[in-house]
Amino acid sequence: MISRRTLIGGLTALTGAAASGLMKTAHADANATPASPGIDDRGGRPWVPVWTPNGRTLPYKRVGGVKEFHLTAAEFEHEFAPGCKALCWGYNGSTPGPTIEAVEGDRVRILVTNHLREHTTVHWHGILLPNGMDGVGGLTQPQIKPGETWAYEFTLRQAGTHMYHPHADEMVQMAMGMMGMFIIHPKNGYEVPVDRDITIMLMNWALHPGTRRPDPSVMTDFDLWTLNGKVYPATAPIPVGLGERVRVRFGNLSMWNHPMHLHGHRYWVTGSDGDRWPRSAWKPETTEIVAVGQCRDIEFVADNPGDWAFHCHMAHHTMNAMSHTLPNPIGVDAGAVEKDLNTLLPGTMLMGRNGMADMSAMRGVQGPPNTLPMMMGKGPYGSIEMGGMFTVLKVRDGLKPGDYADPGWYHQPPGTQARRVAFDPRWAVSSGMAGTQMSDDGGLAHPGDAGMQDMPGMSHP
Amino acid sequence: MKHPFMGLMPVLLLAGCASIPADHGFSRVQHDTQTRGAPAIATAADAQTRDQVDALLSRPLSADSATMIALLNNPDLRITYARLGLSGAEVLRAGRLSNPALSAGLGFTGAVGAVTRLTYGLAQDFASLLLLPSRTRYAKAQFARTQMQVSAAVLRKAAEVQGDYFAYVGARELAAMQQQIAAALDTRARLAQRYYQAGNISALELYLQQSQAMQAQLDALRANAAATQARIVVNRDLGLGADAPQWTAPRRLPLPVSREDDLATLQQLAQRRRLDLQAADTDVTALEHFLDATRTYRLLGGLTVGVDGERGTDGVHSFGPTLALELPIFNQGQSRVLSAQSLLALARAQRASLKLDIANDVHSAYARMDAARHLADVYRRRYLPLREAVLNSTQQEVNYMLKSPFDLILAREQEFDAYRGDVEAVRDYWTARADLSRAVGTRLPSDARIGDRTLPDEAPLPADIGRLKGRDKTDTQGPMSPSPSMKAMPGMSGDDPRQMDMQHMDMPAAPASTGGAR
Repeated sequence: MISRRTLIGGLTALTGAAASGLMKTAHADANATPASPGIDDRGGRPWVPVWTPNGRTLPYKRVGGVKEFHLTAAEFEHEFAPGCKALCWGYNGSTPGPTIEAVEGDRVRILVTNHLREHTTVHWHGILLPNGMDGVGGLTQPQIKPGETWAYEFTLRQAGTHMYHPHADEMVQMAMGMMGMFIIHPKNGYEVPVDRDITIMLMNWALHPGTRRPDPSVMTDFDLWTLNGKVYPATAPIPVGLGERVRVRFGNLSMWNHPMHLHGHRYWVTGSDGDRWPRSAWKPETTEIVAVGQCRDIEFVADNPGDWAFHCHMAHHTMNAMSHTLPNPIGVDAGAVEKDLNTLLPGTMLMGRNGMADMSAMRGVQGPPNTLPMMMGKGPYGSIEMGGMFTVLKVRDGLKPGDYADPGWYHQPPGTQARRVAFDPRWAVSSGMAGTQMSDDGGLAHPGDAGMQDMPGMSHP
Repeated sequence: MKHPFMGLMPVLLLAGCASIPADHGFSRVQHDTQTRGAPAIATAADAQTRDQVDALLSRPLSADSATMIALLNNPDLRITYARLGLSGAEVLRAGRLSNPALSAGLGFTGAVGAVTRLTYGLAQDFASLLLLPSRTRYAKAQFARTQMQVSAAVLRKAAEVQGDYFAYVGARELAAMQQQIAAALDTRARLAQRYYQAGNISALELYLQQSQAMQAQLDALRANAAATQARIVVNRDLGLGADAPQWTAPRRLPLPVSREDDLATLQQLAQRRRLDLQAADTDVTALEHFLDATRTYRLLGGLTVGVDGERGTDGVHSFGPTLALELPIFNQGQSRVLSAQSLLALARAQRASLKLDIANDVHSAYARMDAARHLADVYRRRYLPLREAVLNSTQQEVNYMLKSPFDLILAREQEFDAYRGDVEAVRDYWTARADLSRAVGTRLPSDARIGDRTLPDEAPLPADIGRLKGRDKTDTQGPMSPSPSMKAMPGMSGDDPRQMDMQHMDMPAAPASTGGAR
């Protein structure tokens, strides 16, 4: 008969082993398969462990009955995408810092070591705790000076999606990248369990072209917009199994609201940083605004196979650095001036006359050092022309649970893809199809016109 | 009867034989100037000289060939040469004895049987004979002095011609740069016009661009006018008129020499070789001797020796010597001595002043040359690469649509502007150098190193990239006049003696992470 103590001790040993295993893999590549579903030591209910694309979960160790975590705040070199690195500030060598994952009822102790050159604190956004643990420098505690290690300790009495970030020199420290997600699972589990639980931190950066350090004084004119610290195409794709229930948790510590839009599915907004909403409050969306300082949980069943764009719907947020003061080149016919320009500056081309799609197709032009092109990404059918807050939800049949490896591109079954009908630009006119049919009033469309005038068997209205 | 003065005749004749060379001392001038690096001089516009000049004009001018042409062809120098003749006449005059005076007289009496009285005499001023050697020496010294002054004038003229030549080539190059600048801004304005036509920029923005382009066009016109004037100055120096053959010059000045002369060496050279200083020395020496002679003979006023004869009315001949001697009673020649002393003091003071002028002149010209050289060096090695880096970085940003083509053209125009500064510095270098040559009074030793800094032809100046194909004939009409549309780029010759020292700017080192606990 195994005593309860032995069982707990054994499970503790298992957890400890798993935890130390987690510690070892703490700095492994973001897209690697995470640890097998964690086992909560309170009654053994399985939670699907939260997956942080391009990131990791913060390991803990058991000290007494307390889960002890350790965050170290420091400056480090962060890569936004290959070709763009910057000196950012973060926790444990990443921005966002590692995701803290715990369970309602846990007592947690978070040690914070400050390796910045100025003081800091950590505030636990949305978490109900004693005032002295709130982490507001000057108000609830003296700041953590450079070199010092402080301990925050409190018991979790809620469940939901939360965040952590500094509350000392807050504007600068957050602008430089200091933030992370804090996920609390309910102690009694989820009435509707999910098969995959994903957390994404939204952030913006003023990394001016040709520089290597974010500019914290910029409030509205940002250059890079990130999901978990990455811009497309470095954002990890999100693979989910066909028919799986998926939860995505957003946290927004950028300085702009983000309407997060998912293609091919309708999702339910099921929670915020005020914790999980009752079912009666769930609302259906395909685009939900996550405002500054907010969190949002969305849940959906991935019942539509394919590669689905999943992005912020602010079009500038899916671009990398661009100029906002450029004289508009659209429609400009430079004519003979372009030749003279080439004589003056050999090899110069005037770009943007017909739009900016040429930008992403250009190969071999060199931009400023450490700067990404405005639009990037190559899909199976051509350039995707995206950047910033863009990723792809890949719904595949037969994916194993917990497998987050990139399954490659989706092959659309025959008959389910948009197809070309004609090459000739005059095709629509000659066939008499409306839309291009010029009527006496200059081609304006009228209600009821749509495609019906010259169809066989249809009389004129 | 033996006439005593017959024995004097040979002495007298010999004493009167001061002479000057048949070419009026010109060969000395030729020698002195040519040993100081000046080319040959022509004193008259004969057919041979004309042929030489035409041959030199048929090739593109260099500083040396311009000097040659000037010394052969410029009539101004012939004004100077005539002074040689005038001075020579002085020598002749000084070396000649005054002629003897013959007197004769008749006396008529009314008495019967009386013979007409006849008196005759021959008198020679001997004071001049005594003074003859010193006067001759003085006149010869003055002649030598004149020769040196003429040589100095020739050398000054040569340096002036060189300076004007460099000023012209520099002005022309500057005008070409201004054209480049104007053309770049014109392209920019025309691009703005296209943007405006597409409805993408405002009229205000367009006018601003066009104003900038127009300003540059005005600057180019001014620079062209200045270059035309500079050409006319050279034309005049070469002794050419309005119908002269159109001569050409290279498009660019050469680089400064690899190594300059040492200032102390040049100072010593100047003190030794400056001909006007040697002329002053000659003057002082001559006046010293003149003072000696004046002192020696100060009591000597007039001395006339002669013979006198008379046939009286009684028919009796008498004959005998005569002597007239000025007695120094009321005046002992003090004024002459004082005069000579003052002239000597004046000459000495002038020589001292000239020495000072020369030393400071050399120093001043050297300093100007050195400053311009340093400027050109900094432009070429540091500033122009920087502007190129600005252009390249701007191009990178334009590639990513972070900056517009307008920014790019402006960066290019600013690069041209920097080149303009370089051209100015090089022109200042060469004009200062010509002035230095004048101040030193001889061709500079470092002239041997002109052209030893050559650059590969395949490294064109960025300004060259602006030239249109097929328009690299050398200029024959002087500076290009800007065409109304401003689309014409000045033709640039293919052989570019200059290269930019393209130091690539170091990229910033990869940031060192302060590291966190990992």
